[in-house]
Amino acid sequence: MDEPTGVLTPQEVDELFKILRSLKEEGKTIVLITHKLNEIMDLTSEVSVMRQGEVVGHTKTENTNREKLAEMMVGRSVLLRINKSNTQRGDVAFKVENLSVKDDLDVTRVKNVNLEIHAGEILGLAGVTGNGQTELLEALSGIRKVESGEIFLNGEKISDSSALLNPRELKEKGLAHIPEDRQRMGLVTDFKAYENLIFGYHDQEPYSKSSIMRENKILDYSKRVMEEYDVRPRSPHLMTSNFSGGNQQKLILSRELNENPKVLLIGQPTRGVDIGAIEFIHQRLIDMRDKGAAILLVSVELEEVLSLSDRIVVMFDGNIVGERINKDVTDRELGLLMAGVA
Amino acid sequence: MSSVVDKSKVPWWVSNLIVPLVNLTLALLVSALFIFIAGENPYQAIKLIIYGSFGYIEGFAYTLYYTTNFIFTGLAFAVAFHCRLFNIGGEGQAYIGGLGVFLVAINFSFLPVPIVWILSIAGAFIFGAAWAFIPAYLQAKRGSHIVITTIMFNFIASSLMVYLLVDVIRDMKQMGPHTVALPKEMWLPTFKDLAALFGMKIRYSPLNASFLLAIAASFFVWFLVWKTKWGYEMRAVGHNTQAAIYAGISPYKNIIIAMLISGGLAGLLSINEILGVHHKIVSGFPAGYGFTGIAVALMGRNHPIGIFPAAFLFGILYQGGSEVTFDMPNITRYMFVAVQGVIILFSGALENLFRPQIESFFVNRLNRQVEA
Repeated sequence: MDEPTGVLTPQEVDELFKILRSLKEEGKTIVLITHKLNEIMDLTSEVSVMRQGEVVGHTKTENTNREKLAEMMVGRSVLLRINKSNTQRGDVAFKVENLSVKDDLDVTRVKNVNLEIHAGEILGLAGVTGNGQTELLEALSGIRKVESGEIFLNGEKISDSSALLNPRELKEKGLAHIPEDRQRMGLVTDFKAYENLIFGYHDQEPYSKSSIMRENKILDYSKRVMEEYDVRPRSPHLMTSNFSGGNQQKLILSRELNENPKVLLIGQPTRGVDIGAIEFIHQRLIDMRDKGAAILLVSVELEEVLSLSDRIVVMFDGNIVGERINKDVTDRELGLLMAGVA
Repeated sequence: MSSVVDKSKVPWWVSNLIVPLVNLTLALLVSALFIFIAGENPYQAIKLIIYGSFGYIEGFAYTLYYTTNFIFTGLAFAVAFHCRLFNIGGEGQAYIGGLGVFLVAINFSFLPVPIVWILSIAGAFIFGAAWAFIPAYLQAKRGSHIVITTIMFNFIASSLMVYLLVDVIRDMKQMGPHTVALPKEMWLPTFKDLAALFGMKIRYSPLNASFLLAIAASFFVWFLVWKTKWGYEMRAVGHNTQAAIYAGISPYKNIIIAMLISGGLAGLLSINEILGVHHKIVSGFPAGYGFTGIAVALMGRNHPIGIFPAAFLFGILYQGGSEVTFDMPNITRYMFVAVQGVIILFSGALENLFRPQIESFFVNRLNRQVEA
């Protein structure tokens, strides 16, 4: 079973567990895949921990506890070194007040979240996948309806439960969004590269005028940014699906950073991206911050959050469960917060 | 499944020329088998098809007249398809488009003729688009599947037109379900008129100036889909709705726009049929062109450059087919409906049957040449 309790209420979970226990007693073998450590401790007899595609630990459940599992999940690898100056933190550029958001199945995934991001700051949002980060990003970027609460961009209210600005209007106000899933949301993979490089900006000059696309201007611009962001191969006419993950991400990055947004929302910036491109992308984000952008970095890679962020908040089960200044925090502490233990 | 081919390495002429030609050849072989089983000589039948559609000037004109209809309905299907909408309702949209043409032409007959023509084109487009609007709205707002609703709207259009033709707009001086004829000066110039200008005398031919409108419509569709913001947004919604929403492109708006243009193009078929040929609304004049347009668009890979030859091919089949049924007693009209069905089957539904093999064959060959 893969995350069987994702959309169940606590009562339904109890019911399900009762059934699973009786199946276990009948001698059935059950494989349970879950993020939720209490489910592991509650139900299983043996546990394996996977991290980045590898099994990093296997043990009898009775010989372990939630803290130990959390440590195994998070790991303790060396941080990537990033050249990062000290923050020149400015005013609050982006503010979220008491935000709640529901997913498509009408389950509340973001619960009363408050956030403040200052200009010239990277706020890292850590958390295990599926704790409401996706829905939060979608609500902040004008894709998903806000259930309750308010969102402010440079002091101006952009969304609440009664109205939301759509992504294009937000772009005009200086908010850019690089989504978590580049192939399902960030790109049209059946478009040519140059078509994706203006995606969402296609009705702005010089890319189109009086509703007619200006191919020459788009191609000029495409060649320039593909050079600047070292997208390989540099063929604006190539179908986007033929670029590697890292180069697809660079296409999105160049598109969204080209307009020098004041606020940048970015989800899983380096998921499935090769190491060279990771460095490049990280450096670009730091440059953006130094130029005074407010950046919300959502990532399930704890190392990434730790190496880039100035401040870190941890999301668990739709709530912000902790906020730390980066230099004062250990990965162990964050790992426990992410697992909902602390 | 054996081979997965890197699509970027497949030369364009393999996927756009070789594959359709292979599919077409197979379809013709199966059709030849039908003809053989029916007790006629397939070779003779093919000779008759070619003679019927190319062999004499009136036959060729007929071929182009059918081609005109298929271009309109093929383009109509293609535009909607770029937004991933299966508009099966070309038939009904064309039928209602005819109502638009007739009402405009009969009510504005006091205006100069060229203006009446332009207004009639607008009428055909607007009425066809309006008939597509309701299914489009239901799809966009309510998620009712466009295939189901457009099919249903074909039946509704048909019933509505029968009612109108019997009880409301019938030429009351007679019993047949058709309207009065439009004044003669409004009839579109025909190929026969053109030939007469050059001193050539030909017998009746339904080919008329609508053929030029069909070519203009092809340019319009090409420009719309690939050169304008609307086309860009429609294709974005068609390929990836979620990404479109992310980019602030409204799927709702684009579904409506795509269907309106699609319905409008289907409506233009009635310019050919009513201003060009019948000069009045006759019951059932879309005669299946709307459905065949689906196959034309699929075969033409939803691009005007592909739709034109596909429409021409179906024109040949229609015209050559009637020649065959005329000369071969064992082959009925329905036989050729079956032949069309086989072509639709091979070039539409089974389009990808041999594609992987053919593409990997050419990719491997080209690779070997590069290595050598």
